Amino acid sequence: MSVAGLSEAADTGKLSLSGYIKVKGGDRSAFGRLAFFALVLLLTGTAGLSLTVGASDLNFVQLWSYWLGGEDMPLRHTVILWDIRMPRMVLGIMVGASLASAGASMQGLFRNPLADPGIVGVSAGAALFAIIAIILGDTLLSPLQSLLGIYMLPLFAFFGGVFNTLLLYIIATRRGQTSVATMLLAGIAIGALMGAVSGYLIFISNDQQLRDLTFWSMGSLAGANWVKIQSILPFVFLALSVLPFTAHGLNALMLGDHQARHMGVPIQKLKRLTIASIALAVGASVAVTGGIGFIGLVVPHLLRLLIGPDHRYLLPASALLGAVLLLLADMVARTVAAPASLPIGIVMSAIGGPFFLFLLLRSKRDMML
Amino acid sequence: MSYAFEMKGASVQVGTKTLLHPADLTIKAGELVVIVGPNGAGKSTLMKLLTGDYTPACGQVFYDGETLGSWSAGEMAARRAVMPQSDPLAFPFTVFEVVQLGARLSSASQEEAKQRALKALMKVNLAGYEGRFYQELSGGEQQRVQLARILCQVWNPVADRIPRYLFLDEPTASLDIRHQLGILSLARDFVSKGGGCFAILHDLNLASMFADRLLVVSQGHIVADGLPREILTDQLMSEVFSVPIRVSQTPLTHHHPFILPQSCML
Repeated sequence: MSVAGLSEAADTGKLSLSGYIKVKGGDRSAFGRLAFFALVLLLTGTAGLSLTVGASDLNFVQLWSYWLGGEDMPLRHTVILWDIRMPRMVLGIMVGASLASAGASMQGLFRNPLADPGIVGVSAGAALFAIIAIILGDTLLSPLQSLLGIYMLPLFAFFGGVFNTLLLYIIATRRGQTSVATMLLAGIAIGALMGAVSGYLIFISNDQQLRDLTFWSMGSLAGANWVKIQSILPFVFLALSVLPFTAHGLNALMLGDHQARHMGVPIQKLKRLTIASIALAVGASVAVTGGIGFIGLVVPHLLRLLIGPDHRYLLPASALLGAVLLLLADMVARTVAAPASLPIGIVMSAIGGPFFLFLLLRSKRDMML
Repeated sequence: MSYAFEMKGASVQVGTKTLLHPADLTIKAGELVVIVGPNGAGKSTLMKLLTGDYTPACGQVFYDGETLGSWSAGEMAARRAVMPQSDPLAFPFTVFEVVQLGARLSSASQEEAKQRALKALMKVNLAGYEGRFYQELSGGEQQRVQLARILCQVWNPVADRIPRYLFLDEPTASLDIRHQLGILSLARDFVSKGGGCFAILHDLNLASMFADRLLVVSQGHIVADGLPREILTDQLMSEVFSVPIRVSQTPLTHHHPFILPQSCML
């Protein structure tokens, strides 16, 4: 996707209508509500299932007998359940929900179905700062490292995401008006710059740092523990509880900035709120799990086909389906190469890449016909 | 003047270019005000100044005696609705959902919003189009959907004794003659019930027929302001549009001036 193509899509809003479900009367809100309840059930089921899948012998049958049979759980299984699988599930839900709903609201804000925190550079900023933390942690930043300990990496990633988003926001805002096209293009430029800096740092890193970096950059839920969950919970909670309030404004924004304002939406406030929530949700997620792509792109896209683009239903449904998808991908990640656990970023990219290509090719075909 | 839009020496500047020179203007409810003028004269700029899309470079724009900036987006939305010239929509909303966006603002309940949206679609002659996607409609149909949306936003021409306004930027641009008349009749009806309407039209005959008050904008200046009958004269029209124009009059009592393009050949 070229830069020009992206901005053109942002400007003209041309898109293919194939695949969208038609409803007589045009009111899809019943679909939205139905999807919400179906996804709650699906998430409950997936979450339960994810507790039974893993490298050890603690499987479904075993768990079931502990639960119903009243059999006492041996310590080993208690540890696996409560200190490994449970935090991994909870973190998966938090990160999946954050990334997917951040994607959905960013696409609404940018009026472009291809906008994604990855594209706009939120993730790039988080990644650069994380790399800085890894490479310079022992030398230049060692006082900070000894102060922050294991929180150094997540904190740096988090502030990197917020910093980059703020930078873009300032670049794209003139006289109180935020230009979405400028922000998109500046995001790509700054992303490239940050990539160059990251590349240089990787070039000067030693072997151990390189291993840390690679693992982190591929994204993984493997290191999940209650401390990590605790450290991002306030951010994720705040972001996810603010986003639903932007839904009505984002709907109006589909008509354009001026039209939204004419309809009574305080657009500048709306943009600030949305951007801050996205930076929070994505920064927190990247900080603990590294880069996990495509969830923010694929999940809202799928849901739009099903329930339409109304953000009142799209945002909560995206959060739910994002959580489901990440849990499923994580189950694949920890079983295909058992007893080792594959970084989930690899699994997501392996599924998400072809899927996204399929969507693009399909809409291209429709445009030609 | 209560509940009126007023410009006092307000101008619009973009970069170093002056799009609209300082001008005074008052728009009150109860009259259908139409602006005409050549392409690029500043008609849309004038409308955007009044709707707050542009902030004045000098002078002030007031609504109900207060500067536009002191009214919140929500307060203004309850008192005036704006129909833009063209409106690409980013995601596939259905016709019903687009109209509903306007209705939700002004309705007490979801059910009322729904009924209002359906009624508005009926008014613009698009009943039965609810389930269609906005993107698959023709330009003229999209325009009527937008009109239905803004009609929903300011459903009653007067609410709590406060008149509401419609701002229409070329509402008839891609419509057939039946819908041109239909839509301007809706505007007329809105005004006769106490609301206000400010519309940009290119068709001088439609302007002559529907306007209570006609404004002529040329090269960033408001050059004339008055009854259509006073404004639509050979001299002024020829000057403004730089083409020799002969204005005729309909017979009988109406005295609508009209212009045949055939009479304007160079």
